[in-house]
Amino acid sequence: MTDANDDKKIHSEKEPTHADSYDNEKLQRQPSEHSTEVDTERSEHITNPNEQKRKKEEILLRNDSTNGKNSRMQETISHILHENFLTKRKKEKRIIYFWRIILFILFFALWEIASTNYWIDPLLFSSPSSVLQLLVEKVIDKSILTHLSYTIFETILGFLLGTAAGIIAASILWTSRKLSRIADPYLVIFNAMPKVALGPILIVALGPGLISIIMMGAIISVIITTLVVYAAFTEVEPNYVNVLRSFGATRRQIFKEVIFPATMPTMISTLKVNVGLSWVGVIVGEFLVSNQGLGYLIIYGFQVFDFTLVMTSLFIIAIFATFMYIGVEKLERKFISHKRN
Amino acid sequence: MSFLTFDNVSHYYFSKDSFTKAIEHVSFSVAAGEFCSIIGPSGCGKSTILSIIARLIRQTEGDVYIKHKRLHETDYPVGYMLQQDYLFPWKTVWENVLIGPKIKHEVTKEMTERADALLDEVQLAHTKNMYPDELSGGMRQRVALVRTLVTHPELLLFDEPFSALDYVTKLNLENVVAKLMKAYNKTAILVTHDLGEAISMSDRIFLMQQSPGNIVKQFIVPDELREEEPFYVRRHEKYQALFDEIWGYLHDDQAQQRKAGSG
Repeated sequence: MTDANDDKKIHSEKEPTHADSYDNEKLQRQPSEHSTEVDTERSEHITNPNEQKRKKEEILLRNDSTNGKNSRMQETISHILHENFLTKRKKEKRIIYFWRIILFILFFALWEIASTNYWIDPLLFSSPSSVLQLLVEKVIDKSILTHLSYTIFETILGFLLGTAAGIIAASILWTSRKLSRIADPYLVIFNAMPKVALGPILIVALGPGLISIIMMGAIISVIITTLVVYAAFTEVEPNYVNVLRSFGATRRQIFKEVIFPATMPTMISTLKVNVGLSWVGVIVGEFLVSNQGLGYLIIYGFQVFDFTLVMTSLFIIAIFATFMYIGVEKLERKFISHKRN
Repeated sequence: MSFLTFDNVSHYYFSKDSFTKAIEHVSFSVAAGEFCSIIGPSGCGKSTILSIIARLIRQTEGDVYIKHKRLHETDYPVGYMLQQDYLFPWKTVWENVLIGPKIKHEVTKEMTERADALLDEVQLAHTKNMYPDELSGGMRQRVALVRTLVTHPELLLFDEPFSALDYVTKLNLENVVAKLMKAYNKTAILVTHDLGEAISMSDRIFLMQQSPGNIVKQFIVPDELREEEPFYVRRHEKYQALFDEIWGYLHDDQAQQRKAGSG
């Protein structure tokens, strides 16, 4: 909670009692002369301080005596202050964006120069220009789109399946403390095991196709989701549960009204982790199945020693993984703020 | 007629290497409509008593009766208010207030009207669609009070409900609670550290002692003080006398314990 928020709260609490609110306003107005001094000082930071100063002095002259005018003046001053703050923030933002772009250009320029001058082996590390060229070629002949759509489809499905299965497993564990204690060592072992090592078994069992790859994307995140979400379930503030128990709630009601909504933030942050994990699972799955998808392009490029193809696929993966991550982040912001509009 | 009776109740907490006697051989009774306070040093088992009454835990030994029936065999509604408000941040004020009826599947028109009236009474009708994060500490505690009262409990338990609030808000809220308790003729038990709060709000005060927790003394609050609002009790001439009396006992008690500890 910020201080500003606190102030607002105290103010709004006073509203219903009319006797108080008058005093309150008076109190708030009093420091106005005081604050103008500070304001004038601060306003010097903005672009044309002299004009702002003059404006403020004008306002001061215009409304010197009566209370109503006084408050209007204060309003204008705080408005100016706010604008001041906004310009400052904009400036800072611009600087940050500027350096981000510089870094981006620097990285690719250096890569290009290093490659053309043979500081690094262009056969191995390729170069931005050849990656771009290949990308344009592949987009024009549309071959990349099929691969891309396969991989994205598999990743999204794997990630949703893994997360959902993990949350369901955690919910089942929550129903009985005994069950969770029994399952605990097995979960730990399964979590420690590298899940991609299960790939060959999956492919033989489910066939070398979409299903195996989706399962790879799911299996890689399911256990860690179970562990993290279950831990979050057990860490819910016990007094929330006590409040419901004092109303005579059943365990099912406690889960629905408290445990689940209280752990929503944790569940969404596991989504963020799982997006990344599912990409790993799916790409490894595509390595093994070697049929289609970006993982297949990488392994193919490696086999024919076409590292430009490998780099191009990597580049596309990086971009789309970022998009998915941002998407989940947006979802998080939407769910976690309790203020619906 | 006694409304709630503790008959020789003990409760022990067990852990791997030891067990703690939270309360031992506690006996008392509370009459219907009475407001009782329990005071004593921290760790003397005050909250344990409330947890037993709220059926959150079950006593190790002894019996608790409510209206002459064994407490754990009834589903008698008991309102329980904690130190912090514990409003659910993901629910609006209105949803928070109606959680009790929702749990019992009785969100009727009568209930919602009652909730409306109670919110109005604590001057929070305008916050219905807000989320708890948007309210101040005092407002939140008032919402929690409404949430507790909405289900019509005849018995209310307060576990230091005002201790996390600033002094002015605390005094205001004391008045609100005392007024509501009297208006609806509720029986209430208040656990507190604050001697002044205990005197200003209650009819009877139990003094507890530590390890093992037990009620060692009770004080009857004079009628003149009972009739006043909590805020004015603190200015009453008889207030100071009672305060000094209880303070003396608290002091003696602690001195004795210190002696016992060193000896």
